[in-house]
Amino acid sequence: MKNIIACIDGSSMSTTVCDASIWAAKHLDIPLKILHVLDKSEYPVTSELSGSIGLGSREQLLEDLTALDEQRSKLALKHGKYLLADMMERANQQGLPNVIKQQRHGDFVESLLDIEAETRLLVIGKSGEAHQNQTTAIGSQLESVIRSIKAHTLVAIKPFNEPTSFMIAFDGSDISLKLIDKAIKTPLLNGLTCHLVMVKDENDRTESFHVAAKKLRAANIDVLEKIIEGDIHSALVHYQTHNDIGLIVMGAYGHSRVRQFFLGSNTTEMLTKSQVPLLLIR
Amino acid sequence: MLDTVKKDWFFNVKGDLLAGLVVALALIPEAIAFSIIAGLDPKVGLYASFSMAVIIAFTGGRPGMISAATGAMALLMVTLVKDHGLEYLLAATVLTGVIQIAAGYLKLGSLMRFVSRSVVTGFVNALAILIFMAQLPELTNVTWHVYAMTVAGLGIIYLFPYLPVIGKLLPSPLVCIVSLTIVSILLGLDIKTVGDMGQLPDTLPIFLWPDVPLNLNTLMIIFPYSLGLAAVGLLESLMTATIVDDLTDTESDKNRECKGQGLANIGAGLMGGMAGCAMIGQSIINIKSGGRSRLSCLSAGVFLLVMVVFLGDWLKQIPMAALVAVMIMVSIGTFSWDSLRNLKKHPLSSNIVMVVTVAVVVASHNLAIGVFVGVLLAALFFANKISRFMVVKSADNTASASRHYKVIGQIFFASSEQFLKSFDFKEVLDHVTIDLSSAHFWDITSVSALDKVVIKFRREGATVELIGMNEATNTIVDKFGIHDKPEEVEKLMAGH
Repeated sequence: MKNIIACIDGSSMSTTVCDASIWAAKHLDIPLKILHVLDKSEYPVTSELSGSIGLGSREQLLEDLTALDEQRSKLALKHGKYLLADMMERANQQGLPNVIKQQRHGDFVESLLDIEAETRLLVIGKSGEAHQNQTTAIGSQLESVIRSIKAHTLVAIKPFNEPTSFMIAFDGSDISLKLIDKAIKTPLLNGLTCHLVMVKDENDRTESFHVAAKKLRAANIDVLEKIIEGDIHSALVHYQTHNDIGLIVMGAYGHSRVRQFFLGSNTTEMLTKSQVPLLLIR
Repeated sequence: MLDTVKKDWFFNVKGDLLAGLVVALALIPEAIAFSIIAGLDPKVGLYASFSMAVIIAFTGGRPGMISAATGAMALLMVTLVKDHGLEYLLAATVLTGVIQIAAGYLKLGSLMRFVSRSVVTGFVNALAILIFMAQLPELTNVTWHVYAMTVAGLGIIYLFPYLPVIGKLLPSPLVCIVSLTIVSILLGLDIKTVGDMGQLPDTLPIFLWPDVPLNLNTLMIIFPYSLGLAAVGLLESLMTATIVDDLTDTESDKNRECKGQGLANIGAGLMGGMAGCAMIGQSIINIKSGGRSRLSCLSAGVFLLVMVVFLGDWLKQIPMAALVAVMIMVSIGTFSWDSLRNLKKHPLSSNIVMVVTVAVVVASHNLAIGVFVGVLLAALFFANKISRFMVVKSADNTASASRHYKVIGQIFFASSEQFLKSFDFKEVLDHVTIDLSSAHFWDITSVSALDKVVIKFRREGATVELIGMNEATNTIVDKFGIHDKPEEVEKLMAGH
């Protein structure tokens, strides 16, 4: 059975992730699994610059480093257990009794890849412990997670409110038509109003725009069509705030890293600018 | 791709740069000392350490490990340098790299599993003893000043870290070198300095093809050396990689490390440097100083070159006694003192393997030979132990003059004789049954031993019946290669 995987850490984003995943779990009616990864590479490295090695230096160093890691891991483990218990309690209060807790050692992205087969929807915060006080910053692992994991991903952004409508940015390409198909298939979006939005540029793509709207209507989804003007990302975010839309649906990292290096990435741009959660459909 | 770059290089920038600086400071005296061991100008070792460290930072399979000119390698090249000169050494270094790359592609890194713990300990201890012994020429037939300087140097190295605050900030080997140099200049002591040992670098290294005739004769001269250098280099590098793996609780790519060492040696040879490999002592210093990523090794190489080129005039003034003190520290730090304490705890066979490895290396000055003997000895001890896992039970039936033998355990070259002796051929029997279903036959020696048993009984006039022959012969694993199927292995081992 596939699960919703909610990734939490010690940051304040975790409650947001938890709320978003509870909403998704209720909508999809599948079990929620809360995951806390103990990533050792996040520990700071200690150093002693004396540069000398004496009798039994190697054994001593191994003992010291092991003892240090042990202490940190025990603390992190305990901390993680409390976090998981907190989140579980929160889910229970909101009427979700069956929540699975899981703690794993290792690299965060690798841990997610290990359980990818049982992942239906991944819920992750926009940023974690390292950037929790910067509102615009996106987490250092977010892009690698999105690029590596091929499951739908819900990126939670503070604060989480249950969405009543969602927005799909449409650009007339084949990829965005496919995105529409996939969005129709996702039960998570059932009952939500769809704002199909296109940012106008020199090409005329109204025809495929109407095709897309028709598709959505055929699937019994309320559709509002809108063509707007301006800089793509700002215009989209502006439209979203203006119409109080609670969720943005988009594809993720359609292009190579090389292209991204030169041209920038729509996904990264939207992740940075958006004030509401994003659902990345794969 | 960008993630790997970050993961390998930039997750710990401050720690890595600081550690790189500490390592560079510790590398300079070692590189000079190892060049002198090999009978070369100090610049050969310094160029080698720079090129190795920089190249391995990109190509190696173990982030956080330091590679440079090493004592183990320097000891192997002494005769080549003496008989044929520097250019042949450079050619041998390039060839060493080629052999190591080939080893990497042939995945010989995995052969390390045949090198037991005791052999590794023996290697490390022998290396420490060799480095120490290489310092002795500097300490014989010299004035009392040299002894005083060396003792003072060791005192600084070991006591300086205990000073509050400053002790943990400045590398004590550096403090030792600087203060001894100042003392010797101020007192105008007439003792040997680094400048007396040969040329120091005054320019950046340049890319040069070794000036040797490219013919079979050259190859015949350098190949034996290159083979030894490649073997020792890989052994020490892979052992060091395991040590760093343990210390940092992370994994390394051993075969990539083999190829990386090869590329680094080719680079070193073409830059006018001697062959090198990973350094146990320096890698420990690096980890201790907070270095974890590839950046620390790269920065160590770059810092080293910058310091050497700009401080060349000062390097000349360093008294050899200060270097000797640093090298004694390195050899003490490299020696596994735990292994002495463990002598009582470990089984005698492990101790013999360790001690023999050390003895052979110290006698032959070749770590490769020592490891080879150690591995061989360990394998023999192992074969001997396994051969004891064999019993032949028997039950007789006097009424019908027959006997039932049941063979349990491992039958191979080492246990075949014991197997033969377990049968009583003098007994007068009509019928002999040999139950082989719980026996494991590992090689043709054991099969021919079985044939012999059957023939002997037949000659005494008994009829012989073998039971479970199929199960027993299926265990000649060579033929079937079932080692990768867990269920087959279980079936095979069920005989115990």
